Amino acid sequence: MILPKSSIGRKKMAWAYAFVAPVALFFLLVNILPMFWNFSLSLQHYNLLSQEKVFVGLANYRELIRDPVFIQSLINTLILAATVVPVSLVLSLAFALLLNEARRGVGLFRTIFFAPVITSIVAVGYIWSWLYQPHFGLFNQMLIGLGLPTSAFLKDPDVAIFAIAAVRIWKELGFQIVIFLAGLQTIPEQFSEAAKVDGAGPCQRFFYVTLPLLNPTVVFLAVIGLIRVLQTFALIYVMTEAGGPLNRTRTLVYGIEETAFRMYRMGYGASETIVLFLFILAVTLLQIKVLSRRIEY
Amino acid sequence: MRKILNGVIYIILGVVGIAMVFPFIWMLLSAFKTPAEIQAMPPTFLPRKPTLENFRYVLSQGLFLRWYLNSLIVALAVTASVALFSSLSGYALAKFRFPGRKFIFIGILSTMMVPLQMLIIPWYIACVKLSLVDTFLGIAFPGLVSAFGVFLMRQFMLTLPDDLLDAARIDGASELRIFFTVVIPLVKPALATLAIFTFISNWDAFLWPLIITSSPRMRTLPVGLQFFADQFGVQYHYIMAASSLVVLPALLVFFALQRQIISGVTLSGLKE
Repeated sequence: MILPKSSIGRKKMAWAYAFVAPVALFFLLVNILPMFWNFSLSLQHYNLLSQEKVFVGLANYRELIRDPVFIQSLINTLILAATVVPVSLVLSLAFALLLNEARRGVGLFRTIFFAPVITSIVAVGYIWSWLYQPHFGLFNQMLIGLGLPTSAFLKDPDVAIFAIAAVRIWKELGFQIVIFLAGLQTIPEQFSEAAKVDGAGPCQRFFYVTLPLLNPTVVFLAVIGLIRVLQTFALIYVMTEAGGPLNRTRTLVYGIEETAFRMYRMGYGASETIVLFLFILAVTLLQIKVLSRRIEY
Repeated sequence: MRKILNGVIYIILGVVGIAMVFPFIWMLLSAFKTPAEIQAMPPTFLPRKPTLENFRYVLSQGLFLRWYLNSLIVALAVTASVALFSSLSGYALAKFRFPGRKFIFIGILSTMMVPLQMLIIPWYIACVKLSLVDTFLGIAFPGLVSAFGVFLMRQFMLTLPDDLLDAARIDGASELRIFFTVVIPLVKPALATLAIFTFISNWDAFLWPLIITSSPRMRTLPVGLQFFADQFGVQYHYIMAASSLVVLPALLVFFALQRQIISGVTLSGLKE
């Protein structure tokens, strides 16, 4: 870096620092320092109510791996991710392909699919709780009408997490469709046309031309979809009580909120957030590795 | 053949489209039903005797107007702050050369990797110590500056021609003046997109406002709705009326601004 000699250059540099300084300071104080503080909290027993504050080393982490409720929340979060991510990707890609084929009304359908994306997640939680309501809820009424067995949905330990997953898929679908549509529009038509001339059917064209070219979009959506679903909180808080039947809908973030802000165990809560972070990091890296393919022509 | 295919496509899209909007329709219909009708078996579709009683009750019980105002204050303040600071620092990072530029830029970007949950516990302890619990500043501060905003504005500022800025300098304009009269008008489209995205994500924020508010009067709309619904347990005629009050204005704004909103959110996909 060469320092400017002229006074004009120095003045310009001073302005640049003045422009950047508030933001840089903000990130230092609000994002970076708290991150280290959070890590040091995870090594303490820190209770905001009793004012207890002791350094305990890795005791919180040792407690975590022996905590059956925490392990259950880890499993639930994984089940949620393993359901929501693939199902929503397949559905949104399918609908994006259909919309891409449709000549008219694309705008209307895009609006319809997108409406849940901008709707308040808390309101969404209540709307679906009402649909799932075991006695008067619409879903069970419809099942009765069709002569099928009913379900307790959110109150059934084996069903509850999938009922939550369905809501998340409904809410996220529009976002993924819009991104897929944008991705599909970047694919030059010649590729598909050339494959057609060579005698490839629609299925072959999809698997050998469209899908490989969409790979960056797929990876992108899978990664951010995964990060979002691993942080599921509001739906669980709104739709089920105390982590659901047999704790089957308790997610990692739900557990963090409960530990830190209802039991005021800040240190233990902090250690849970560190595990969440490592978990997100590991799963994301793994996913990128599995999904990314280098395409050569 | 093409016609049949088209027909099939539209039938599928139509069915799925109806399924997508149906939860909203059912919410609205339920909000106009009486307590007796909402528990009818089999259920009625259209309300037999549509009533506004649920809405009247919800508005008289909850502090909905106050919560609207709170959400609006927080979201507007955050949006204005993000717009100003993102463009200021984005401009400096794109158009000035100074020692530490790269370090600062990468430092800011790397904060995007840290999930919110890793910060809320320190934030809360700090807010307790600084008496920021239950204040607007307490609710708003985490969002006042956005790493994504800085990144977006920097990328956009890179495309501005240097000659134009230098011409303004030769004319004797001060750096601040150049920023407000030359740079800002040129980046308005990006700024509008950033503003829409920031407003929406802040409007929907739940976890932090839930933690940091304690009195009913300071709640934001999503937190207020949650507390309201919690009181009324299974009385879904009230809860659906309250949800409608939260959902409908947002949907109307969305229909009015959908082009900008969809492009804004598509762009924001780069976040996270």
